[in-house]
Amino acid sequence: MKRITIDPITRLEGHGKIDIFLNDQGNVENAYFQIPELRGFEQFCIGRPVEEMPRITTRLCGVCPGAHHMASAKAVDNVYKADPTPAAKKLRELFYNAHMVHSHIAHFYALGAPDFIVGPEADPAKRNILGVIEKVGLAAGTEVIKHRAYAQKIQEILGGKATHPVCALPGGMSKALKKEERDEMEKWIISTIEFAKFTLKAFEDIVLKNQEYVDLILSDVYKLKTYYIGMVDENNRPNFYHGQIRIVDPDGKEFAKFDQQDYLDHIREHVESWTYLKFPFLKKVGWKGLVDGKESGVVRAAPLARLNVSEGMATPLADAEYQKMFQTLGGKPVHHTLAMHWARIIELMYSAERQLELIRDPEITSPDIRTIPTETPSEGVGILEAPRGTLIHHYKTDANGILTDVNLIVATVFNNAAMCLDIKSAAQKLIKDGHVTQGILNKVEMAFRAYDPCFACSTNTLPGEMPLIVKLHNADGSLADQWRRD
Amino acid sequence: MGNAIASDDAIGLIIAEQIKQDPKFTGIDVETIESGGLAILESLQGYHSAIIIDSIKTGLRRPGEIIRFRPEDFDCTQRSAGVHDVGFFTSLKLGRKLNMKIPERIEIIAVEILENRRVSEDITPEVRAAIDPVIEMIKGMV
Repeated sequence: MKRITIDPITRLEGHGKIDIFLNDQGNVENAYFQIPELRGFEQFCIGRPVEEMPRITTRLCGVCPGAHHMASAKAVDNVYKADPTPAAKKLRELFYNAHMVHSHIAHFYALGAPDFIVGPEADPAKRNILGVIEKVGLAAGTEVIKHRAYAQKIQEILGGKATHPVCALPGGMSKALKKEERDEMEKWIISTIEFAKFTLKAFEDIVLKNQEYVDLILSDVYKLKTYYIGMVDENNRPNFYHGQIRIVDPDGKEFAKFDQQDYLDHIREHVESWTYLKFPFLKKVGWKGLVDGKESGVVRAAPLARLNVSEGMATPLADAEYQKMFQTLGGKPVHHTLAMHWARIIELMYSAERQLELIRDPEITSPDIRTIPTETPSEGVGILEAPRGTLIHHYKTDANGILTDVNLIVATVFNNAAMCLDIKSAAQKLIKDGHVTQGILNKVEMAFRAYDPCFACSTNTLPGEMPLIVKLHNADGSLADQWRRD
Repeated sequence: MGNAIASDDAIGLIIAEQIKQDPKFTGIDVETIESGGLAILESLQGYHSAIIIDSIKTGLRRPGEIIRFRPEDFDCTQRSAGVHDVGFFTSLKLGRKLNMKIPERIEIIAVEILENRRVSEDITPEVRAAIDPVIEMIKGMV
């Protein structure tokens, strides 16, 4: 048996790698996606005051601090039974949609688009954001940077800091929005809607009008029939900050719908010895191993999942794109993993439109932004939709608000089983007779990149690169070949 | 640059804070940043010159050793294999490609560190010993 290892990331928090095992015929027998990630935040937080959690958990990573801040804030609200005022909820949702805009722009243009706009088999040196800019033009590149920065500024104004926000307090927010800040933000948001239109048009022109790419999206290489999870409003349309959790089965039928505090009735986590990352699954279906289908409790989160659990989008332009996506891809639910990229930019449009609704709400500048907690703290759950899927924070405290138990299920973990399955599927269908090329390896990577998995950001290894090492081992374990990409 | 709760990785942030408080430094802006990629590009915009203070972990040098670089010393592009952002050098290339006003002169001062996997606000004594020498070095550069 031969073994191929794709070891893409060597970073502060550990690294992710892909192990592909070939049989003697050179075909893929098995594939594993492993994350030896730093765990222990849950334990580290025990004994600390619960109100510190929204600021501590932003340090879980540098990628989605806004998501952790808000999920944590919702959990702390519930610990103190302090329901935020309507204005505070609107400010939080406004902040949060800016976070989604910033995150989705970064993923689409820096990570997802290179595979489509530059090409899945293009020279690795060109398959990056610089290559994307070469294709779409310098003016478009400037717009990417500008609108990402607008979203960052909105987060900074509302959150105190763009990267590690400090705005949410138990029962509300720490400061109100000034009218002059509101006016400035409105201009940025209107511009962002236009940018989202540009992005969707570019996707249509470059990807959807290229039959080769459409075939790639619709191919069996990247297809899993799973359950889907996401947060929805009262009309079953996605809402990233508040609502109920809805799960649909692989046929698209509602399987469960519940309030955040009831998540343990529906979600459990499975552990495997070969990875630190757990495998959440549907309790009522059960863990049947790394298999898809209706009999398997594997459930997917992230943009495509959110659209699959919904019955339309809550804003008009995003809804039109939603209808178009399902019409183009053969109806709901869409099981094609690479459609995640399209779903992501539909969400970009939704978040931009939702921000405009919120910024134009007269209550957004209300000074009534805090419900002062008066109840004895005990236990609380906070769930929201992180850019990469459903995020759960669950805290228990003593009567003084000191944490006694912390449970975090992060979005990337929800997709762990699906990423393993997609990688195995891609490897099995693309690697034949031991034939491995850079393009094939990139197509295997595309299987997990679509999920926008979140490890942490910082790299301190010389020279700050992110190497991709591929090792091919003979059946006796000796090294047959080795590739490295920097 | 650095991470305030990752032990020695905070060294750049600590030095920057000391420079901010030091009255001998005038006519410069000091910014601390705990993220990477495109966020750094935004911080650098509009300046003609920049000094970046960060940690580095090669395992080949003595902890606390100070190393000076320029972006030109690096010829790598962070690829898009799984993280959520682009690397510092890719960001710089992007900024220049887009004709953004990015400093023509960028100096990188890196301190070799020992520990960045432990969640702690404390840094090791060997790395702490580099604080004053780095500040003196920067006085000679600005």
